[in-house]
Amino acid sequence: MTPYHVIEVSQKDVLRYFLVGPASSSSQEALLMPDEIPERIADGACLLLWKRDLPIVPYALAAEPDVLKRVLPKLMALPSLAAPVTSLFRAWTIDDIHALSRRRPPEPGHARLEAFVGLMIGELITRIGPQLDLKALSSSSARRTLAYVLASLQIAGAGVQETAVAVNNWTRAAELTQTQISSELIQTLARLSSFAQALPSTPRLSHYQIAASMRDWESEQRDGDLYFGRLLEQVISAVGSLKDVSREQRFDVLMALIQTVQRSGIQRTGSLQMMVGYLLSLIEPGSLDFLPLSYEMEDVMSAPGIACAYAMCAGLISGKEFLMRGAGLGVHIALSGLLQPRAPDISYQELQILGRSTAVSELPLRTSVPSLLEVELIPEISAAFFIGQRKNEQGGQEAQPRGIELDAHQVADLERITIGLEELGHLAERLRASVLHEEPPKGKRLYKKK
Amino acid sequence: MSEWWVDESQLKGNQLEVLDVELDKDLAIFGPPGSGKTNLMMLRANHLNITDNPEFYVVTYTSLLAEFMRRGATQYSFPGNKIRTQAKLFEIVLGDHGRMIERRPNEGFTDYQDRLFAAMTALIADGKAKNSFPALFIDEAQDYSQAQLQVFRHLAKNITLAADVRQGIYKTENCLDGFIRGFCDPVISLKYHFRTGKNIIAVADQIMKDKFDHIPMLDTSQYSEESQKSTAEVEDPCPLGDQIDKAVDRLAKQLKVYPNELLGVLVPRMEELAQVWERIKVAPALAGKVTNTRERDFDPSCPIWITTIHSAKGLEFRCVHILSAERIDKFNERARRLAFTAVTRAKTALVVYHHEDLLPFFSAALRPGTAARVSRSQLFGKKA
Repeated sequence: MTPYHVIEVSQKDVLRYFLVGPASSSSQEALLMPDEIPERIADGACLLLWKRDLPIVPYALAAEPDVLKRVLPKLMALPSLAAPVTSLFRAWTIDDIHALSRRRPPEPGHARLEAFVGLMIGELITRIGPQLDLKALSSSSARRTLAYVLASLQIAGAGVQETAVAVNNWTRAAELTQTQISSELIQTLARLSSFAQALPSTPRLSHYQIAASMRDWESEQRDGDLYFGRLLEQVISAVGSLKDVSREQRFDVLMALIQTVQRSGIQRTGSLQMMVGYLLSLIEPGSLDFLPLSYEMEDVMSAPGIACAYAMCAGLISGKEFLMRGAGLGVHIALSGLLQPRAPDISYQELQILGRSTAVSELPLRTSVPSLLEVELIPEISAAFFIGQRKNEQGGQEAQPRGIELDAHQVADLERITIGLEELGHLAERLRASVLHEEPPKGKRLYKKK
Repeated sequence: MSEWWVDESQLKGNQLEVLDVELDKDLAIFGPPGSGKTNLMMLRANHLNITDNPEFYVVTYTSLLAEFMRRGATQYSFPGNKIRTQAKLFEIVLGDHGRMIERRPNEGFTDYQDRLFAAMTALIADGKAKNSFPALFIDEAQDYSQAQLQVFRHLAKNITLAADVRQGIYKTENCLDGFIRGFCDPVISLKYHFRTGKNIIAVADQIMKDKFDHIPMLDTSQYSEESQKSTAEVEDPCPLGDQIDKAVDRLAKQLKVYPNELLGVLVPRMEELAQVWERIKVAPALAGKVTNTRERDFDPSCPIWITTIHSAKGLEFRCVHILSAERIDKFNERARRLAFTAVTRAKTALVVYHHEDLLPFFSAALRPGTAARVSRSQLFGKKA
């Protein structure tokens, strides 16, 4: 856990802090761990958080959700400030910070990266189609998957509640960025991810161990499917007969089992996909050759997510070697995102405000990768969303940020800010210059050591 | 789809010796099907290309094999157009000396090849074209005549040959021994082979048992049955139409079972090829997946290739279907080697279809008898 230098300020003073530093010397400054930050702060107040190595602007602005909704539009309305404004700092709720403190990251090497890379590959094939070429796939594509977010959550050690919030935010951000994904696939991915997280930390799993883990995991679920365990016993017994037979014979046996599963009473979303994906992975354990077939089965069985379960099981059987598949795709995903998270382009809160009136793809957002918008869904967990080809990618000028249209209420709020807009504009220029030159702003230091 | 080596660690036994032979030596590489002799020859050609990038050629017996090898060559540094058939090589040499001949209207390819060869021998008789190339790499060398080998000898300063006498399906006499004895040093005989499943190798061994100095291959197989169990099956006799229908069903399944792999349908003669192609190309289950190697619009990217056994030499398929297998008898004294070549094109699955009785050696190889004691009553009637 990282400690933060924290100052509590009023909404009125937030702008000033962003631009020139503290308004008065009476501000309380403290070095606090996330779990030391008070659960309740003064009505309408905000917290500004700094990291030692980021002295120019606060690392994050935190407040109750309704306060954030009021403060962010004001910041966004500032002329000459970056757009999105949350590309400069994070915008968190107070609950977010406390959830951060409850995270319990797994021991290094215990994260089931291979299972999650499998989920990413499966999700991409479900969303893009069987023409997907793993060798041509970039880690940026993987960052656009929900499975990537689920992997980030596992590595961060997020709990069930926080995971639910992140998935919910991802779903809403997907809507705002017109990312097409079915709710059934989202549920299946969440279920498969939960299963992968519960697995023992052995280097690789045999298909028997996977089946046994599936049975145990299902029986522990509150909404566990009655048929699932019984069917799985049948599957485990049939799988025993697959030794010393050709791949074609194995295929025949497994297809017959898949038909049995299809006819069974499995109702709950995710369970059918898990079972069928597992069976497909046994045609050639550890192979990814059957992605197109698993995609075809999704269509035949109207069950999106079979490819995800298939690729996850292939990953579990292969172990860490799986990360080298597709010209080292898994390693690239890990190194260019999962293990070294990128700075987001925008917070989920700001995206919500912006996306209310205008299509996100039409907004003149400054992003680190032109066609992708990195959204921080919950603290330190980001996802990328495709927002179309930007002008600068087509050889033209990069889109310039423009001011945000304000309604009358927001204008009135802004007028109440003690510093005039003219001065703010001048200060904003100073701030922008200092950010560009990576120098600390002149004037009083914003925090002290505890 | 093919399995070309990408790493030194994939080489085993005396395969590595081939890479150590100096480029200015003549080399003959012998080995059973799937021993990697063609691949080693390609590595040697790549070695020459990296060292000096001279004009050299890898010579194949058929254009289909040239096409197949070009696919493998994409991972090497030399361009695919250095892989040529014998006819194309002769055209290059004749053209260089202003002695190019034109193919006559309606002239058969065999007749054209004969004229090309005659033009080449005339050129050589005039003392021309000696050591035109620093090296030639001759694949399937067992299929060339003594005279053809002498032409290669004349054209190149050094020669590398890859051969297996058991796979000589274009002629009956063995010209290689005398030719090699004359100049090739070293001669490397590869012991181990990797490509073909043991259940298929057992059939191939049985076909060649005690013939052509055949050394049984089963003991030297490095194929892992644990990771990919192989099968060799023979279907009950039925007319060709039914054979095709059965093969289509099986191929449709194999497309799913072996994605990204090449599947082969082999027939003994062009007559059968025409019949099989007419029916198989309209099979809905294989739509867009099947191609005829003898057609103008042959598409090597299709996963199922329909071809004759002769055209398939040097190729390899994950699964092979041999249709009208009884027609191998039309090749008389070459029938055994033709059957051997056809069977050893398969890596993991072999299915043989026929209508009439198979040649006895082929039938015996596919349906080995049981060692169990036979009762008298079993001697009567067709069923055992």
